[in-house]
Order: sequence, then C-alpha cells, then structure tokens
Amino acid sequence: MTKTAKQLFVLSLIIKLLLLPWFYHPDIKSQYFHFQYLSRGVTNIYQYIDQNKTNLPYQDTFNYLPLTYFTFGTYSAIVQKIAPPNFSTWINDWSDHQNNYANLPVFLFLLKLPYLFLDTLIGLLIYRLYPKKNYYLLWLFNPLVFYLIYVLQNFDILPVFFTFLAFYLLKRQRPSLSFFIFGLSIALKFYSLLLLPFFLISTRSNFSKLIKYSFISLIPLLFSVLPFINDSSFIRSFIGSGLTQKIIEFKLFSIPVFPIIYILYFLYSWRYSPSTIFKNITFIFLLFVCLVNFHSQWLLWFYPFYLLAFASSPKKLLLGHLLFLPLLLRVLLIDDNYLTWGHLIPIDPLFVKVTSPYNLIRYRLMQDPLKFQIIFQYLTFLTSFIIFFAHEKNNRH
Amino acid sequence: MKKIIAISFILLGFLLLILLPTLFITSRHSISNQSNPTFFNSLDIGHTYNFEVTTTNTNLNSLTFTLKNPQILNNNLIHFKISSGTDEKVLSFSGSNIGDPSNLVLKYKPLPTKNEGIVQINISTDNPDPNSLYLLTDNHGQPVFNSTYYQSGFANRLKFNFHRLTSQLTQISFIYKTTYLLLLFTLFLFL
Repeated sequence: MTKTAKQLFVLSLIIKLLLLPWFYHPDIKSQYFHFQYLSRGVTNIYQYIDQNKTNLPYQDTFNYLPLTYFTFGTYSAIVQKIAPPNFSTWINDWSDHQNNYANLPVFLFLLKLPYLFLDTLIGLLIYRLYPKKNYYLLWLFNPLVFYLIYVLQNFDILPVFFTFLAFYLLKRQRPSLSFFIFGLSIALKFYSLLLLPFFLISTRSNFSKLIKYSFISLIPLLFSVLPFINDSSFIRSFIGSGLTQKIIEFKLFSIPVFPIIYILYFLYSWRYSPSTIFKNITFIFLLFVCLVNFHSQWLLWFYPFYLLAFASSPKKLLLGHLLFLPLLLRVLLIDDNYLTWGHLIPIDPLFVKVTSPYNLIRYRLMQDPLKFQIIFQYLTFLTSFIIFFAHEKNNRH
Repeated sequence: MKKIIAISFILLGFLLLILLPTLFITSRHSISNQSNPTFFNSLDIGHTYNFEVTTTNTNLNSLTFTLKNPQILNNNLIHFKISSGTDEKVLSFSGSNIGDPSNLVLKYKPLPTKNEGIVQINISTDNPDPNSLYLLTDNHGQPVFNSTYYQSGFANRLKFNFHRLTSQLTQISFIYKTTYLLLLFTLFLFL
C-alpha cells in the first residue's frame, strides 16, 4: 500500500471516529436489547421472548437469524464489561427518559466500533481489487456510506462485508471459500439470497459445480438454524418478517411483481450476461427500490457493488447517484422523527421534538405528505429507467 | 494538508455540536407536575381547576395536559386561561380533540413572565355532564402537566448550548474521554 493510501485510510478513520458517538437510531438499541440476553445465558432468544414477553421492557420479537444473535451477543457481552456502568440501565430503559443519558455518545461509540472495522475492511478490499484506481476513496469518504453505516447504524454492514469478501475471493479464483463466506452472510441475514444466484452464474461453472457451490453457501445457515428448526417461536419470528413480506407487497392482478421480474431477469442474465456481476446487481437494486417498500438501511446491501458499477468516471458516478435524491427524500418524508432530527439526540435529546419534515408538510403547509412520497416514488422509477438504459448504452460502447 | 483536513473536521464537529441545537431547538422544558400516583378527575361545569405555578423561566410557550374523553363522545368546549399578571392567553378546544386518553398540547406565543414569577392557570368547560370528560391530576387534585419555554436570542442559546455540552462532557468518565482523545491523537500521528 502506498504512503498516501495509508494516510487516506487514517484520515477516513479519524472522520468516522468523530461521527460515531453523535448519531443515533433506536434500531441499534432494540437489537442490543435482545443481544444482551446471550451474556445472561439465554441461547434460545426466540423462546425466551415468547415466554417472557409481558415482563420485558421492550416487547418486540427478535426477527433475526441465530448466527446474528450469537455474533452480536458475544460483542454485547464485551461491551457490557467495558462500557460505563449505566449501559445496562440504558439498554433496558424504554421510558420517556430513555434518551437522557450523558453517556449515550460513549454507548454509541462502543456499539459502532465493529462497524468502523468492517467498513474499513471493505475499503481495503476495494483497494486490493483496484490498486491503481482511486475507487477506494469513493467508499472511504462517501457521505452515503457515512449515513447508511453510522447514522442508520444497523448491523447489516456485517453481512454486506461478507458478500463483498465473497466477491473479492471470487475475483481471486477461490470459489469454494468465496461461497462459504457468502454463506455466512446468508446465515446473518436472508437478503443475501437475492444476490446468490448472480454470484453463482458469474462463475460460469457447469451444473454440478453450481449445485456444489449452492450447497457450500447454505452450510452456515443450515448449521446455525438446525437447532431451532422445530421451535415454533423461532418459526413465528420469521413469518411475515420485513423482507419476505415486502418483496411480495407490490402486486399486479394479484401476482407479486418483484419476484416475477427477478426470476425473468435471472434467466435472461444466465443466458446472456452471467459474468457481469456489477450490472446484474445494479439491475436488481434498481428493481428493488422501484418495487419494494424498502427500509432505508437496506440500501447498504447493494451499495458496494452499485458504487463500483459507476466508479469508472465522475459522469457515471453522478448519473448513478441521481437515484439517491428521490430515494432519500422518500425516507425523509416517513412519519418517524428518528429518521430525521431524532438521529441527533446524542447532541441534544430535544431534537426528537423538533418538527419533522412529515409534520411540517402536514401541519404547517397543510398538505398530504403522501402526495410528495408518491411524486418521489415516480421520480425513483424515472431515474431508475434512465440509469439502467444509460448504463446499458455505456457498456455496449 | 491531511493534518489540516483532520483538524478542520475536529473543529467543525465541535462547532456543529453547539450550533445545531442553537439553530433548531428554541423551546426547552420548564416547570412540570409529574407527581405519582395520578387519577382522572371529572372536568365539568361543577369541577373547574384553578392553580398557580412558579416558573423558573420567562417566556412560557406551551403547556401539556392529559385528558380523557371516553369513546370521544363529548364535544363541549374546554377553556384554558393562562395568566402571568402582565399578559393573558385564552385557548378553547372542543372535546372532539381529546382522545381516550390523550395529551393536549397548548402551544401559544411566548407569555412574558418575570423570572421566578407566578403563572395562574384556569381550566374550565361548558360540559354539564360530570361523567364524560376527565383531567389527569395528582392525589391533591392538582392537574398533571408539562410546560416549555421559548429560549430567546441566538447568543443566549449559543451560550446555553456551550454550557450544556461542556456539562455533558464532564459527566462522561475521564477514562473514556482520555481513551477517545488518545485514539484520535495516535491516528493523527500517522497523517
């Protein structure tokens, strides 16, 4: 690594260390609320919540996979040892005073440290893949990356890191290891299954090898889920959970549109463009944001690949990122102050009471925010089409 | 150059920590009565509520009460009179604005009060039925409420937020602050 590259990595670390303590989203607290139970000896969190729901200060179910629980549960146990003494009080405090903790920036700093590590590793992988190009800078100093990782602060960065590491290993001609690593991502979060078929066909392997790689990539999921498979509370946690529900939400003539187009596109790309992994993930991403009522943190799933698909020139980069304008405006108009001003409560807990854009439009401008959301949805469609066709045209030339 | 960028970010960060609340948070918590236990007491022509609060801040600009209108059937008017001696606000709401139960937030232009002055609050209604509208009170019959005051003047808010931030940072244990600064300083040496 060159001296300049090293310094730029350090500079990005300094900037991110400054950001870490001062942004909050309740997801990080609700997730770590559940993760804390591993250090109390709870190995079946699904059953534990089911049996103790009425006595818990936070009563939502745990909708993530066992490997997620065990991985972050282990980190939670470490944090409990090194965090200020009132960490446990905060994580279990869901009262009106839950944001009034002077140590909140310290808690957030400690909880987000693994994200910083994983984010930097993705930067390193990009550097290793394209050492002579400055693509890694687009990742290291990218405001969208700052937002998706440190402001929305979901643990999705871990499965995203594994999918990207799998991509790196695939490029280094180590397919078996690559698909095992990809499997870790699936065992952490189901979304990776959306990308798996395109990883498989990019190897251009014969049918038996595709079966082999598919099996390898399912090993971590099978092993981690097997002990829970007969547990009804585990099964219940996943029925109707976020992604599975949302990808079939948009229907035409009672037929869910996203899965149908996804399958058709997969068959098309298997036949005509199996090796263009960036192009395929870009298409799935555009399809996803148009047809799925996504949570903002889900944008991170595709982003490293999407970014690299447009990294070759500033013009392309600008074109690819046009999409994020209507996407982020849609997020801003969701009726949830924790997606706007609420992010700043470590600076001042009263930020959660500042008028949200949703309420501003509804009560000050006396307009229906849904109208604007629909406009931004149409703009998302439009920019997605423009990006897809411009991208296709560029690739042909 | 990279050192200058890093220092600029540190300074900008510190500035934003003070500047953002100064620009966007203009109302802060003032006096409240959150005593426990609480009860819903009838609010009707025969049951009005008169009470005084001693404010610690000038410019009271909102009061929040908890009311209950079972099945949202009562549409009679509820009147709130807030008086500081020099100025007076009268606000009336229909019972249809009250849920089962819900918080009623009365927002109004800042009411100038002298520092540590007395504010008189009167809650009355046109409702003749003693069993259809209720107000949350403590066990002495005093309404449970929250209030906010308007923090006037940019410089005043800036000063307040600087003190608030420094006070928050002093509450954080020395070991965490030192570790954080050491980490930043160590990284800085590699630039």
